[in-house]
Amino acid sequence: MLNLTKVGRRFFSFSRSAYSKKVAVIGAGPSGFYTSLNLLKDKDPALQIDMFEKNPCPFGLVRYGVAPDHPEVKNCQERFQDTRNDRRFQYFGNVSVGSDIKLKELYDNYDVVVYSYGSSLENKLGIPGEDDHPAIINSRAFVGWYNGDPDYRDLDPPLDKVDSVIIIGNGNVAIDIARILMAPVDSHWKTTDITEHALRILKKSTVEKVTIVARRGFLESKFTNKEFKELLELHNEGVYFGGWPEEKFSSLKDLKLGRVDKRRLSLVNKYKSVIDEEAKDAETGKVKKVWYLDYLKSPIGFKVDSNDPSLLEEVIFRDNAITIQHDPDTGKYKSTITPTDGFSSIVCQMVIPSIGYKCEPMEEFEELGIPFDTGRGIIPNVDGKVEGRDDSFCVGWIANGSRGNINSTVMTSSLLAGIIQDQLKVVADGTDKPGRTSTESLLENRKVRVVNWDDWVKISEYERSQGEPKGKPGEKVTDYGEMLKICK
Amino acid sequence: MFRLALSRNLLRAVTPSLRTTISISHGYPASTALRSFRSFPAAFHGEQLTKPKPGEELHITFILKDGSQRTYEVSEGDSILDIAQANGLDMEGACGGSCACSTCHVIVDPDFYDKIPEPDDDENDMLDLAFGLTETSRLGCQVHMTKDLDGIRVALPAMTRNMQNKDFK
Repeated sequence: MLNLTKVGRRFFSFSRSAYSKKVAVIGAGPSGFYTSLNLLKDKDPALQIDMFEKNPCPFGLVRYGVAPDHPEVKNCQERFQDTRNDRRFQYFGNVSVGSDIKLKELYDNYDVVVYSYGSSLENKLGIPGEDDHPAIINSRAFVGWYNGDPDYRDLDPPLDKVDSVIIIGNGNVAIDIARILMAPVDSHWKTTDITEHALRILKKSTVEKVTIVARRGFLESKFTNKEFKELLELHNEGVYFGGWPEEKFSSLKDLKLGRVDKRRLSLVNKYKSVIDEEAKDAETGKVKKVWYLDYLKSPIGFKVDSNDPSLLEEVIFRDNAITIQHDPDTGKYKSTITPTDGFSSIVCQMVIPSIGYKCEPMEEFEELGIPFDTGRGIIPNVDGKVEGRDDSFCVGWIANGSRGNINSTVMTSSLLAGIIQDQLKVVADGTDKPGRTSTESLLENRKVRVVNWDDWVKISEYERSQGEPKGKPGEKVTDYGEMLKICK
Repeated sequence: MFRLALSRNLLRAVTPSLRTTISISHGYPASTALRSFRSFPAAFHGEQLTKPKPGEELHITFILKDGSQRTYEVSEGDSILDIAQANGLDMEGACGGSCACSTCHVIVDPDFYDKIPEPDDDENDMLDLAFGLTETSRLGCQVHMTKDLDGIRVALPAMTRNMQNKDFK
């Protein structure tokens, strides 16, 4: 059947393509890049995408989040390089939206603004000490430290004074951190792009025990089986899985679990026996490096070591009870967690809270009428379209919170690009926004040192050349000033 | 995680028209031809494939997200991901085909599914993270063409909107 409205709209949109389709993207992480790449599939020469990044270097969490021993996950950087072949796209590195260029100016210059600037805050436990004790280090700082984020390069975690570490939260970040703490430097890390300052401290590390603690149950574990198995497989490098509180979850074996849960359960059962056979040192009878999973514990306090106040002595937990019920609507099991009167503690000298991240609104949001959900730390949106706005979109963590992986990023970015394209056809009301020319002259007048893509290539080549003699794929420059010098 | 029994219907539904598909193109040397088109490289990210020897061509049909179909003549050993990328199809392959993501997820025609060697644990763990998982889902980077698979049909999973926070929890 012929739908005349559709045909009409289609024709209309074609006739509109001469108007400007100018897009500003804020944040050069994977969601910003994938959205741009998907938009560029539209071959309309009127399309213009300018990407703004406050750091000189692009790639966001691919550079500063993905673990150094996951080079395959970073392969998407190759794909992001494709943007340089397309003149409709331009990278504006070292440009801070809000100070170097006002957000309002972006709205004046572009038809559409895409927020993809991710998160800048960490979720808090709400326990005294978590912000100011040197042995309580948030995952955000710890990950930034080993990945070369300039903000955290001087973190110097006291790993040479510690033998037991607790990681609170059990997402993939927690698993990454456990691997960093336990896997041997020489066989595992030396030839990755981990920073030299992290290698230096890891070499002196005396950590022998890591406990990954979550307040909820086994079925609510946030890590993926892929990451979990990788950690379990470290027994090949002398790092053993010490077990989990299976007595608390004895009912699981009677449940009809889904594939993912079943596999997780089979993994713990398979690898917990590995320790019995191989783990003990023949001479001392002691297991050198062991990690544990623990569940149903909510941290309520840190006890500082009375001999060395720069370290902890133990973490106190409130024990939780769990009831698992089958939800006939979803066909899944639902756990209810309730606090009990019981308390427990785990001895440790250092704690790494790893319970997710939060995003912040930009300064001009209120003034420009861009909504922000402070509770959830996201821009409220429907499929990435900012609530109540036709000219604003968001993608990645700023849209969904700190969850998901490269798969969900690829998926949501692709969906969003479609929505933006539809919107660009409607938005184009005949006014031609000035776009890039205006932005460039603005930044030039303000003497902003813009890092363009060729500059970034210089930095990246420098990093590669610095890594080469050490057998590393790259040695990251951990100082923004130095980056600017390199690409001068 | 859910494994929908969609694939059977999806693939059956398009089968009749498949018989009349004529457009056969080659998985080569598309990349060079396309790279010279200035605005296209950004959207294109392909592998070079070797041309199949005469008489040894294998056939694969992709059912795209919009329901249209493309058939290619390819060589034994080519992976589904490489074929898709060499032909500019919309398959991401974010990790470069190292089984570290699930962005090359395809739904395989049930008639061919059992002819492919079973997925290993690593592939299954990645498949569990794919959107719209079905009983015959595979990762394109892990499936390589063999004579048994000549004529295979695979569908690129359609994405759905209204996919919000709840889907990531």
